[in-house]
Amino acid sequence: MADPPLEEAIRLEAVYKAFVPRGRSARPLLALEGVSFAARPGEFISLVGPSGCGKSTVLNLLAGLTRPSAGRVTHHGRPVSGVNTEVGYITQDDNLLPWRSMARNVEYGLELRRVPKAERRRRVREFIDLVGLTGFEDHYPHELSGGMRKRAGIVRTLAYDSDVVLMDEPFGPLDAQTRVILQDELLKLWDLRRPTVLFVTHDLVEAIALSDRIITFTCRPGRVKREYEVRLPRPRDVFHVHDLPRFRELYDALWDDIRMEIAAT
Amino acid sequence: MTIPDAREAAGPGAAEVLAGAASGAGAAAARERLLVRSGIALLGAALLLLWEFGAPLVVERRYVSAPSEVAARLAGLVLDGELWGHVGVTLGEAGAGYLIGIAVGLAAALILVSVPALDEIAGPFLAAFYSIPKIALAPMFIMWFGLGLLPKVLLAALMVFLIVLANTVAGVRGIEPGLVEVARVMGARGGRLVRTIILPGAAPAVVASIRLTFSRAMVGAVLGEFIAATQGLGFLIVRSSRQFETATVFAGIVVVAVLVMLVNAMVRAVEARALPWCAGGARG
Repeated sequence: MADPPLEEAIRLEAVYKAFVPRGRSARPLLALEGVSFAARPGEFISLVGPSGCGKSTVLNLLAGLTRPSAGRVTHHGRPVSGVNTEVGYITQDDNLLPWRSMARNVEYGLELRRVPKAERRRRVREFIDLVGLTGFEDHYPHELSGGMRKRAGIVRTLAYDSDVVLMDEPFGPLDAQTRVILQDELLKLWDLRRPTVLFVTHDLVEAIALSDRIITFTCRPGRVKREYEVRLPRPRDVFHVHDLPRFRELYDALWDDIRMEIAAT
Repeated sequence: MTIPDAREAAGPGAAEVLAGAASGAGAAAARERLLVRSGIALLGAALLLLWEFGAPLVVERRYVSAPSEVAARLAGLVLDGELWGHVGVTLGEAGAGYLIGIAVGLAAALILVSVPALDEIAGPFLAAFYSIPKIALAPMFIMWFGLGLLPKVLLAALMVFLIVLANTVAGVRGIEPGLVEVARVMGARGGRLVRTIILPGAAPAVVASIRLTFSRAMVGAVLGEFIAATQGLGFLIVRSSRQFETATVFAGIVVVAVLVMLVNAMVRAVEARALPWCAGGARG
C-alpha cells in the first residue's frame, strides 16, 4: 500500500467496531460499519447523527481507548495502537481532577509531558488568561461554575498543543447562552494554532457555526451518510451566523438527513 | 409622561435588605446552635442523674456504681499515677497496630487492584476472613505470640487491616472511569497514573476508613489485654470486674471512650487539611 499523503492528519479506512454487551445472552452489537473519512491538518470537522450512532466510538478509536474490529485508524499515517497520547481529548463531562486547583488542572498535561516548571507556569497563566479565568487559579473544580469548569477543561487540553483535538459533545451539559459564548471562545482558541478538530455534537447550529466540514452518520450501525462543506467565511460570528442564507440552506439539508435517520430508529 | 425608574421606587435599598437577611439568618443559626447545645447538656445531665439516683432503685448499687463514684475513682487513678501506665500501654499497642494495619491494608489493596482478576480470586477468602469474629482469635494470638505487647499489637492491626483493605479497593473501583481515560490520553501511565489519579481518587474513601478504624484498633488492644496482660486499660477493666470494683470498671471504659474520641478528632483535623477538595470532608 502506498504511503498516505502527508496532508492528512487522521484517517479511518473501512472501520468496523463490534461490542459485546455485558450479560449472558447478549448478542454482539455493531456500532460502526465501514466508516471511512479523513481530515486535513487544521480542519474543523463535526460529526452529527442520532444518539448511539457510534460518533463517540470514532473518537475513542482515534484516542486509542478502543481498537477497531476491522479496518484501519491512522494518525499522521501511522496506525493507532494503544492509547494515543498525541491527541487531545475533551469529553462531555469536564473530567477535571477534583483534588487539583483549577490552575494545577490546566498544568496537568504539561506536567505529564515533563515541560519545565517555569515554562509550564507561563503557559498555564497565558491560557487561563485567554479564557478569562484569571483570579480563579486556586479554586477547586467544585467551586467553579459549569462554564468555568468547561473552559478550564478545554485549555487544559489545548495548553499542551496537540495537533489533533477530539471533542465529544463538550458543550452538552451547558445552558444555551453559555454554550454560544463558549462556541465563540473555542473558535478564537482554535484560531491560535489551528489544530485538527473532530467535534461530536447533536446541535446542528453548533456544527454549522464551528466547522469546515460536517459528516452525518446513520443510525446504528453507524455509517457515514453524507459530507457537507460548510463554506462560510472565517472568522465567524457565532452570534449571527443564523442570518446567512448559506446557514439556512445547510441547516435544512442536515435536518432532512438527521430526521430520516431518527425516523428509522 | 415618563416611566418612573424602578430603582427609585419607595422601600429599602438592596444593601439594607441584604444586611437584614444576613442578620436574620445569623440569628436563626445562633438560636439553633443554642438549642442543640442546651439539648445535649440537658440530656447528658438527665442520664447522669438517672444513673446516680434512679438505677439504685432497681439494681443493687455495687453492680452499677454511680457517676459520683466513677468520677472519684477516676480522680484517684489520675492522682496516684496508676492510670498513665495503663493508658500508655494500651495507646502504644493500639497505635502501633493501627499504623501497621493501615500500611499493610493499603499495600495489599494496591496489589489487589493492580493484578487483573486477583481481587476476584482473593474475594471468597477475604469474605471468609471477615466473617470470623476476631474475638475468637484473641486466645490463639496469646498462645502464638506470648503474653507481651506483640499479640495485642497484631490483634489491633488485624482489625484495622481488613477495613482499610476493603475501603481502599472500593475507593479505587469507585474512581470515575472518564477521569482515568482522560488522564491516560494525556499521557499518564504506570506509577504516575497511580500517583496522580488512583491514589488521590481513592483518598476520600481511604481516609474515611482510616479515621473510623482507630476505635477498632482500641478494641483489638483491649481485647488482647482481657485475655492475658499485666498492664493496660483492658487489664484494669478485667481485674476490677473480677474484684467487683464496679467504679473502676466504668472509669476504664470512660477512659477508652475518651481516647478514641480524641484520636478521631485529631485524625479529622488532619483529614480536613490533607483533603481540602472534599467540601465538608469524606463521610464513611
